[in-house]
Amino acid sequence: MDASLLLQLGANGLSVGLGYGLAAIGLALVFGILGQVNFAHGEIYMLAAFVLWWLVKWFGLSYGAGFALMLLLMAGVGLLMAEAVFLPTLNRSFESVILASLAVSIILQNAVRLVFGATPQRIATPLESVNLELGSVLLFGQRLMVAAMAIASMLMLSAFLRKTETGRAMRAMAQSKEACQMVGIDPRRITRITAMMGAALCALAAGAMAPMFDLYPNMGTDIVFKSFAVVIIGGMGNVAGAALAGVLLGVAESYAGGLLGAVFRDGIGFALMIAMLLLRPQGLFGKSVRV
Amino acid sequence: MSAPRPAEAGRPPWGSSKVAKPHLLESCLLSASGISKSYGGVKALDAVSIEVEAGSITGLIGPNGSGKSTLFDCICGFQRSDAGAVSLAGESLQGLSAQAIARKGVRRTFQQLRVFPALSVRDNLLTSAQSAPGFGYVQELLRLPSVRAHERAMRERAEAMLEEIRLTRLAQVLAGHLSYGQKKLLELGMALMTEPRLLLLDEPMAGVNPSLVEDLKVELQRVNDRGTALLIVEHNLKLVFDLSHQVYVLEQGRVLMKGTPRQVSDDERVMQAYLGVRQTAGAEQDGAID
Amino acid sequence: MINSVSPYLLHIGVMAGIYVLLVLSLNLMLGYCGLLSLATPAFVGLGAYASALLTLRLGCDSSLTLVAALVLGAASGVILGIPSLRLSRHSFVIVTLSATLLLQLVASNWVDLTRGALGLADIPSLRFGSFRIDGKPAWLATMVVVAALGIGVFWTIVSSRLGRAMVAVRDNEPLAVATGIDVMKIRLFAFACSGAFAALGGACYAHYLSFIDPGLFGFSISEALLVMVILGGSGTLWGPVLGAIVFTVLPEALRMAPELRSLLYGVLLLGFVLFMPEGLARCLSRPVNRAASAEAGQ
Repeated sequence: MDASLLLQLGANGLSVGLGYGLAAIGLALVFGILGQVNFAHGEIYMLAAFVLWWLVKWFGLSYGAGFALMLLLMAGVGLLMAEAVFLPTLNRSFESVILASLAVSIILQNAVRLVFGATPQRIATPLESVNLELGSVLLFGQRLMVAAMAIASMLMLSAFLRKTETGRAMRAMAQSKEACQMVGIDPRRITRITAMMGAALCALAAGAMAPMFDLYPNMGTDIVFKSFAVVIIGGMGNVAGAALAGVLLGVAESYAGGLLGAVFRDGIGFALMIAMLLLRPQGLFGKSVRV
Repeated sequence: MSAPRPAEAGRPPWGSSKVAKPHLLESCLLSASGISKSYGGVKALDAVSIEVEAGSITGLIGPNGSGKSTLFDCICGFQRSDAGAVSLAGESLQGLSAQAIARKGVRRTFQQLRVFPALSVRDNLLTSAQSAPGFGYVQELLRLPSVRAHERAMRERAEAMLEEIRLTRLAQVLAGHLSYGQKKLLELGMALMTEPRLLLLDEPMAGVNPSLVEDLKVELQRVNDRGTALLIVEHNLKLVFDLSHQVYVLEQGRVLMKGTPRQVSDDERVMQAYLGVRQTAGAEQDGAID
Repeated sequence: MINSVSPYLLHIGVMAGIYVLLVLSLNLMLGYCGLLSLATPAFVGLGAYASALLTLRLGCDSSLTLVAALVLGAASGVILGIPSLRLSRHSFVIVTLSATLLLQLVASNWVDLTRGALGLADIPSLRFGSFRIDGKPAWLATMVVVAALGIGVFWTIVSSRLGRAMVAVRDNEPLAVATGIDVMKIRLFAFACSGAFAALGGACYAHYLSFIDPGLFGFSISEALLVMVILGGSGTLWGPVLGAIVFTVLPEALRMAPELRSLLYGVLLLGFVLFMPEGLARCLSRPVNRAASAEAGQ
């Protein structure tokens, strides 16, 4: 076995995994704090990527400027989701939220299809030709950016949840909604903020990773499945767990794909998820909004 | 309902005039011994042992947080105790699921009133009447004659129960639309549909107006007369002492004492722990409970 | 007389019949058990491929292949249900969705069996002994019979003690347990029946359209079914059936582009979930209960 190949696969897996982790954190956050599974998560990722592409292509913005503007717009989308889905179903049966978010995902996917068409698109990025060589391992610039963003945002999220008053309020809501109201925390406000942050984190992942792949309206399905797998492996609602589980999944996929073939790369996510559900349903790290 | 006896010196005016039914005392129906349960570092139950004789009424009292509902959960299989054993008429209930225990003749009500809101009152009762043992799904679906006969018998029993809990004219109404008191009656009726050997009642009088308390009390007595043993958790001490043959007092997860209602009501420790009341000559504390 | 009806209308009729079977599958889980199962496409695909492969590769009579589809559907329900029904309800939804994705992956890659993305073509129509179902009028008659049988079986289940037990578990699980109902067993039973209904629908689909591919495992079936069940009235017998008929006929009648139709489905679903979650059937039957409950509330 070629050591440099193994290292390369590991490095690829690490960066892809950090991307998965970044994409899944928003889902874990929303579940941990609001107790809701957002089935539109994949479509938010997809929409973010398409918005970025549209800003760059039609308005001629640079990748960086487009990225920043896209984040703002997607935070707005998160707010819309809060208003349309999470707030009305705050006290209703859990299926209401799942069905409502499923409905939103259907709407978003088909709206994008109608507006932008189904032809795959690409985003150009200034990092396209940037490469880093560490010994025998080749790292593409964009992948490095993904990794850097993932680590940076996890650190910032951790600090936010621990040090700020809003962050503490969010963690309180994860424990008990009723208790929140008793101490004067407004669950509606927390719901809005959490939804916006969830969408923004998802958009961050999309903006960082989108240049590496083709964009097509269906891409949300893959993302949402990967995010579910990550969240189940790490533990529903566990934000740090999502990060670590993402890396685990990325590395596992990389080795499975590199050594066994593409089918195994696609299938290992299922295998890990099934194994986790059978052996340890609460995930590797259990549920807790810890960072 | 007997008139309140004049207060004897130092004694509250209630007190069971119940004479234990001697022949029934010989058979211990429910035996829970050494039940312990902890949550994190908090010991909810600490080696609690209680016994309920067949056909008797046993009261279980204690301040909030003393572990009464947890004990119910452990006995009925809704929670697994950390230690201890439960047996019903000598047969161990260890490791049985809650539904299996229900099928052995142990029924319970919950602290938070529970009915099936989307089913009619009659269907609530029918759902509560279990299928006969040995009826598989195939027999149920094919509606074999044995199944139909059982269904008929259950419907008759449901009609009788509707009469007994006086909800006959509301038989078709969805249980979710009933008033609180009506739901309480339905809840009791549901638990009785299988003529259980033992019925555990978790605060049956909570939130119930005084006239309905009387009705429920009469009903419970009637149920007991028919042979069902009752284990009642209640804060309405007058009711507990009037009905019970014996009373257990729980405090902070431990059995403080066990005795006849008179013994318990006389005990200083119980008074202190639960009522915060001291014995004084001629005191009438009747209305202070709840 | 039926031969003079436009083949297009006949086609819609057949598809409506198939969707009635699928809607029974979802309604049993979502409406009566309160569990959102996104596994219907999995069962549909399994039934379709099983029946098609048995017919193509082994030349089996359709009486055998349809029974095989039913059995496979029920067995898959049990196999999938055992690990997933004891999870939280959120995880159940995710697992059922993942099962369809996994099966799609398998169907696309197990080329020796399924011919992968090329799919299975030239699937013969249903044949019982020497009696073949040929032509759209025969198919419509067949589907009407099958759908009616399906509704009959469905009614038998939900009006029995088992149906009451499902509703009991849905509405108040601890109370159902305290009543002696075996929660896991009743849910497994429902899931097995759900699998059987959907697999039968899948088998009919395969033999009618004579072509299937791994896309059958995709989400679009669930999308349509959710609209049919929610708008029709989840948990009622006839609501989703009418929903199935309406939402098979309507999109064809309106001749919408698929994306526009899906978009409309999404909007309708969101609207109903938020504002009229009981669907249309409940809306119509509400006045009856209101009178009775007004009397109860005294």
